[in-house]
Amino acid sequence: MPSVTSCSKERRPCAWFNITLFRKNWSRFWPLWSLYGVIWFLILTVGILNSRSIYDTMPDNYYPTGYVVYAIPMGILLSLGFGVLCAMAVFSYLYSSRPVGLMHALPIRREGLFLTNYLSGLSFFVLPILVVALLTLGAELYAGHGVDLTSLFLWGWCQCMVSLFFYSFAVFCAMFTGHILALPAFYGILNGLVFGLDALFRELARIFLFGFYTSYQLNPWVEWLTPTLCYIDRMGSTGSPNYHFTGLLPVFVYMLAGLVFTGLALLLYRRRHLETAGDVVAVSWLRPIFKYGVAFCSAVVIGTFLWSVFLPQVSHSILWSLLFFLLLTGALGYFIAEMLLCKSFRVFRQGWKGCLCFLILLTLGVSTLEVDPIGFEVRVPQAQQVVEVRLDTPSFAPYDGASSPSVLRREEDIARLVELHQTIIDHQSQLESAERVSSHSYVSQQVGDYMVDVETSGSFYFSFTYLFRDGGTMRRSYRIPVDEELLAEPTSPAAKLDALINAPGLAQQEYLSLYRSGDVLTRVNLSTYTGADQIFSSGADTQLLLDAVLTDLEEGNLGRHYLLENQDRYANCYYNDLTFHFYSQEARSELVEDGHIYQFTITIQTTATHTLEALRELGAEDVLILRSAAP
Amino acid sequence: MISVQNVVKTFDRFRALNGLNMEVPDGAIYGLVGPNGAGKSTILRHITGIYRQDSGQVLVAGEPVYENPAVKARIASIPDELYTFLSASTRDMMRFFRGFYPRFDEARYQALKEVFSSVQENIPVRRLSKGMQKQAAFWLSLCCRPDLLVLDEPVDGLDPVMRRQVWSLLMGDVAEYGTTVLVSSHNLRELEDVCDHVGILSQGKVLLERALADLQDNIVKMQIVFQERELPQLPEDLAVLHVSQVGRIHTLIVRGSADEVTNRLAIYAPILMEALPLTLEEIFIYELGGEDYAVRDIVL
Repeated sequence: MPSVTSCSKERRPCAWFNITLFRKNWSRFWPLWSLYGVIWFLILTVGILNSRSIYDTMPDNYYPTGYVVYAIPMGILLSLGFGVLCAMAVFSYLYSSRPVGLMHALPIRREGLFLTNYLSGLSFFVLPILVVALLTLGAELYAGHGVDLTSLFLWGWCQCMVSLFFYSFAVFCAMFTGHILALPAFYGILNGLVFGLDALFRELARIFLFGFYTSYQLNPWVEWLTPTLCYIDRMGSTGSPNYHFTGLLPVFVYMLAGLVFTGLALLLYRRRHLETAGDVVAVSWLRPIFKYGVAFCSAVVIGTFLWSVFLPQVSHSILWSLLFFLLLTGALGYFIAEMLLCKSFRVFRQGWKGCLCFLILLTLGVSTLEVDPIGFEVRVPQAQQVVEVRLDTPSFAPYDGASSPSVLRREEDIARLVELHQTIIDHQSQLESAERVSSHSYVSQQVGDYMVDVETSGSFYFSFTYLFRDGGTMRRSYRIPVDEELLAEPTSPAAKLDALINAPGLAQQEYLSLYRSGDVLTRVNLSTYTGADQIFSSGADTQLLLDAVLTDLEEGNLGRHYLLENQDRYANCYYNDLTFHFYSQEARSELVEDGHIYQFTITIQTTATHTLEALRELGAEDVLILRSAAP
Repeated sequence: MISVQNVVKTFDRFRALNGLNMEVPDGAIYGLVGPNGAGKSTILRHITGIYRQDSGQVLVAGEPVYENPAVKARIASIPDELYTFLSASTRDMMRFFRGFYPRFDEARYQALKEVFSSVQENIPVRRLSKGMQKQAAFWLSLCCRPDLLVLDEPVDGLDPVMRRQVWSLLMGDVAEYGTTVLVSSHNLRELEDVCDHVGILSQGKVLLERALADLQDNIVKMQIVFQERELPQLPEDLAVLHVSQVGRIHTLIVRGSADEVTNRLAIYAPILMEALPLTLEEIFIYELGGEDYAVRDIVL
């Protein structure tokens, strides 16, 4: 006869959520949520309370609005760190066979376990945020500088959403690994994976493709697929006096992404084989991706690093040494990944076939890049196809307003650049040999009455972007060696580049790029070697100088620029610059001081006869000093 | 109660369960025995709904157990390696299980406190000795009022008195509530005392399963002395599993009932013949001998 016990009133277990487990997570992992809450309490609540003493020294609205809005981006790194910690905590039972057995023998569906653990982890963020928001509200009331519920709500909402994303992403990572230490590793790597892969591919292409353009500017899609960067770049404030929050779009977008990751995590969890507890990768179809991914990344990152460390002076044309390092480190990465997957050091016998396939594919890939089957390296457009060329060059001496030409629009300039491009292609092997050598040589020489260290050779990157008539673009970047011999040889790339930057009218176009008819010349400054500028402010003087400079530019007497700081440069250029200050009647966005002010600077040269004559007329001849005399 | 039909489970190309079939009747105490690596713990994890089989069916009370909370609420299990939360005491774990098992019997928990008096319920389970941890596991499992109790090496670590106490409690539940007990153990002498059904696993399959009495009736140890010193040519259809000789006494392990085997050997007019029952351990050893798992004479 069964005894009368509590079991006599039988109820069905709830399959989708369990409050006992929820409470258990809260009691087990209290250090996490309490630490998160305490950090925000110190930043926000205590910060507001401390504001009482410095309130008067801060701009209007800084307390309470600005301070709270400025605190929002601080949550990015906090959520990044606590996101993975919370996921590691609440899903820690998945990484060892014993807790796996305990939790999955319980009368609850996997969806129930997932939902309960997921929500409890999320509540580690949400509830402390709510409490801190309430405490901060109290602090604002106590501090007596006003209350801004909107900014406080915005802070809380943004923290919840950013935390939702990072936590959900960490939970997603937690579902395809079976090792608790692999989780933060995967989480960190995947957070920056797109950024890293983009950099890796660009580095490989830069090494192997002659002329490949490497920009340090991130593509927008790379930024969007690197959440931490995107948050940091885009979340902020308009500043004083309104302190409006900027960056709601990434908050919304990543919130949606977080929900998607949650769904994917649930799908993975439903299909997860629990016997994979302890495995680095718990999803079978991800194992080869992991293995070959590690091998590829090792090859590119460590291989190129070792190559540059051990053979720093090897020229671009001897790439077999790089291939050797790529294959060596690729194989190393492959076997390390295999060891992690198999949890054994004895992987060589069974893994050599896969490794061999990988190394063959790597060799083919590298050879393909080197052979350039699509003709990337030798492609030179027709000048007629090009509308404009944007240049990205270093500054050429003298360092004035036209030292770094930025854009070519005239047909003859474009034709010159295309010709230069073709010359570069024709001298590919010569340029590749110089690719990794960027030393500059100097020699002391007599220039006039003075001994000067003149530059005899050097090299520099020269990048340009074609803008085609059909809207397309083409970017190239080359390192061009320069020395006196090359400059003297008219068919060399150095000589062609010299001709391009000194093309008739190009310097004039650069100097006067901001000038519009009707703009008022307000003053002209003449820099001096000894002290303060000499200033010409009367209309007649300034106009005299402007006319003289324009005439010299027109006649090609002024604006000569040099690839090397050589004897000519020292002998021809004065130390002194003329800076023309203009006022535009019409406000223009590219100008400063509310869009009205601009200036251009031009270095005086010995060939500028009209300018020198004008300065003589104005009595400024005495302050002129040649560059060789003012090293 | 349990019906396992043609279950296959593969771990990294290793087939742990190879088309396993098994039937455990309601109210039975079913002993699962087999050599190391035979798949005992693996099938127990399928029966408790932890693992998902690659193919086949695992039914408890006629329903698939995997992802079926209603069925799992009727199962309690004690795994070989116990797990409790880091600083959880027996009382904490009781509260935890109470939140999951609808039939959790708190009154029984209080009542069993006297039986498991050596277990301090307020100190973390991890700080208890191995035997006490096992006692705590039994304590909590029995309070879940399961229809099916799955035990993997359950009394390993318990002292003899507590073993008897625990088996006594289990027997009481079987007798009073019709609880089915599935127990995996290498302690065959103990299983022989408590089990009414036995299944022998080898290489991911159940070699044989029967009521223990049937099993013992179907294999017999014959001690026999023939007229001649040497063993005569026995009939080919006589299923002799093992033969040994000490002096003139031959010991034969023969498949079949004692009467049948005695009658068949009587035609050799032996000087002495005696049929002896086999222990479960002997049955296990001789049955697995055919599976190439015999005890080997090793010369070092």
